[in-house]
Amino acid sequence: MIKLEKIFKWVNSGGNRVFLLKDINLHVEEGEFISIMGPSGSGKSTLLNVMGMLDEASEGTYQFLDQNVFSLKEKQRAQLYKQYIGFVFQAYHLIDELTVYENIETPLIYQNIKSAERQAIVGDMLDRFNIVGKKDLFPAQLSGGQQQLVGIARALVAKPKLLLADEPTGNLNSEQGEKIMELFTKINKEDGVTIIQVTHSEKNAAYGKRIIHLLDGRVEKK
Amino acid sequence: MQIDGTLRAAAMCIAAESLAITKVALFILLIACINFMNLSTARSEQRAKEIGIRKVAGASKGLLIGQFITEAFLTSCIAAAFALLIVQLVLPAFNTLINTHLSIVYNSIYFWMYALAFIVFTGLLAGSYPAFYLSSFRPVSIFKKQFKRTNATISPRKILVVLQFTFAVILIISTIVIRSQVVYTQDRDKGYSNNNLVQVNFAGDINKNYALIKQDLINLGIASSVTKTMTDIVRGGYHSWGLRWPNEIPKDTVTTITIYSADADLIKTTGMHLVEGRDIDINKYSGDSFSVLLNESAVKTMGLKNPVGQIIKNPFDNINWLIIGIVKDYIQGSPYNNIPPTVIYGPGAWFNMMYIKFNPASSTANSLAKAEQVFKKYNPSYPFDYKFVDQQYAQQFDSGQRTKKMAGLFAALAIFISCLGLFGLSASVAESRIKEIGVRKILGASVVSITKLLSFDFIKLVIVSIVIATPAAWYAMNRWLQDYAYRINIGWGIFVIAGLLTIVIALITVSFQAIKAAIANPVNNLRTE
Ligand SMILES: Nc1ncnc2c1ncn2[C@@H]1O[C@H](COP(=O)(O)OP(=O)(O)OP(=O)(O)O)[C@@H](O)[C@H]1O
Ligand SMILES: [Mg+2]
Repeated sequence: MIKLEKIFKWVNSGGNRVFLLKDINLHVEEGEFISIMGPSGSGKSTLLNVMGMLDEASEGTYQFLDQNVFSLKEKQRAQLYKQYIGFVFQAYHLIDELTVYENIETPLIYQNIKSAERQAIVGDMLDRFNIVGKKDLFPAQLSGGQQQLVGIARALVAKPKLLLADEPTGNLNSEQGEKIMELFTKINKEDGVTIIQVTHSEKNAAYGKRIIHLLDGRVEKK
Repeated sequence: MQIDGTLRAAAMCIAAESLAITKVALFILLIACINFMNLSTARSEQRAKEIGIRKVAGASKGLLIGQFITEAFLTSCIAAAFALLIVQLVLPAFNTLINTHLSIVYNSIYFWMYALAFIVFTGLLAGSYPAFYLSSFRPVSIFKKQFKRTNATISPRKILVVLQFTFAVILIISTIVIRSQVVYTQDRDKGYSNNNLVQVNFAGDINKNYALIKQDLINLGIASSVTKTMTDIVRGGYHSWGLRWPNEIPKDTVTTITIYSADADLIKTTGMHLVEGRDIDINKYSGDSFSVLLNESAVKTMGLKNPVGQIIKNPFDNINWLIIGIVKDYIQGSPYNNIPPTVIYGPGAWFNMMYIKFNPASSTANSLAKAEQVFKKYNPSYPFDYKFVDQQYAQQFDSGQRTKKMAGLFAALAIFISCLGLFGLSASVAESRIKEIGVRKILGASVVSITKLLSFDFIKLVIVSIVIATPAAWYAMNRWLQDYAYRINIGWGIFVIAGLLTIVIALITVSFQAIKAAIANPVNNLRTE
């Protein structure tokens, strides 16, 4: 599904090249559940953003579902991630002005799905995540765990093949975190969604079937 | 008396004009004050924390209000200084534009008093709303994130934006109406031909030597035709309500009729159009001393069926005037007025001026130089004094032109200031929604949809303004048009043009910020925590 080859990423700072990613080679098969670990500043988020097509690498090739991502036009790339990738963030990033229902509905609107169909899909999602009762509340009225649940529901509502999660449990207590991890496992097993998560917790990383360690922008060989 | 009356009328006209200008200027000041209110309250949402902390630290509401009003006063003072500078710089250009000689009276105490009053007034106007709005923030709700839809359907800020744009749209519509009215009147069929037509008032021996002058002008090929008249054909003749005509409604003594006399070749010289009958020609028909021409309005006023050949009477001189021809209505007096019913007598009592149609084959300068020689010859003790009829006619549009230019200037200023406010407001909204925009992009929103999202709220307000401004402007401009007998009908096209123009300008203004926010890389904007 994902083939990263010889990925380098650098930024110019004060005339110097600062490397954020160095020689990343990574293959991910469909249906995998991968955890990325590493110290702060090691490039985990940067790597995730490259894979999510939100950011470009400076060098190397990226194949996503047999498409050469870096040679696509901005619009085509947006089309690709919009269709196949869901994002979950540490800070949830729900839209404050929208209700739970509307937050989950948003990606479907951007995929031009008709209103009646959207209603059915969102209703289904609320059901699965057990948050039907909260559908008319605003994000600020929810606990962190509940907000992240909404965030995950929103990431999955458009049926992506790949879920990218950047420290999804970073703002949660361990009990809430565990719940999220169990949810991920379930999604991965039952729906076959490929998951790549960044985490600082060994325990949560263990839910993944493969762990990748980053250090200074490089994949650490074990 | 006459001169005094004219001067007084002119002075009143100028007074009315400057009153209107003052009103519009106040509106524009209000628009600018609204910008200050909106932008400072918008910015305050970023300052909310600071205010909360000050309040918690014990600052009283009064102290905070004082702080904000002082800020507004300072802004107002600085603005006044800039305003003086700008006025000083653009005044010469403004004076040429509207043809006046305005200047700043630095040595007048009243000027400074007014200036001070305005600074205080502006500071209070602009500063009071933000002051009360900001100082009423409750610290708790500032620190705790509110879970309320911020884009309520009606908020003071929206009302203020609507108010601003309502003024701007009214001014735009007014400008278009004024412009159309002036152009419409300029395009009005004059009914005669005034180019190459020169008026020479009788002075010295011109009256005595008229026949010789006319002969020379024509024989030397300077003029193609010459006539003399009793009064100015552009301004109109004297008025009488004493004429009697056949089958007249009894005691119709209210209708005034313009009367003047001509000797011969009037129609040929002035290019009036003969509808029926013939021109007066005393040289060919000796009876023409008692012949008259009527214009179409006169025929209509008198209700004559077959006018040519009928007799009209003037009881004062007891003369029977024979109608020999009808001329098409031509513009006399203000081109904005109705054309008065007019009777042109054959050569009667006296003449005051002559009209010369220059030979179109030679240049005007050449004709003038040659004509001057002719007049020097027959009227040596006077300088050759003449007026071009087309220039006299054009002068009648001076005040209309001035109004048109001023209205355009004001409308441009109003829309510019309103858009300046909209620009700032849209920037602050884009800034405050930067995270949301990032999230939406990651969820698949296109640049277009985000631009729409950010722009549409503002455009909705502008549309509301157009809806409010349309009937208001329609009413005001209809009243303005009542002063003109010859006037346009305000068609809906004017409102459509004004509305579209405003929407396009506003759209360009807000979409600039919206597009900027929409094309930004979402990753950068979400990276804070
Ligand atoms: N656009 C950029 N310009 C300059 N430096 C950047 C940029 N993006 C990231 N960095 C730097 O690159 C490094 C890696 O950043 P990244 O966010 O990927 O780290 P991370 O592994 O996710 O860390 P954390 O665990 O703290 O989230 C950091 O030192 C960061 O400051
Ligand atoms: Mg990170």
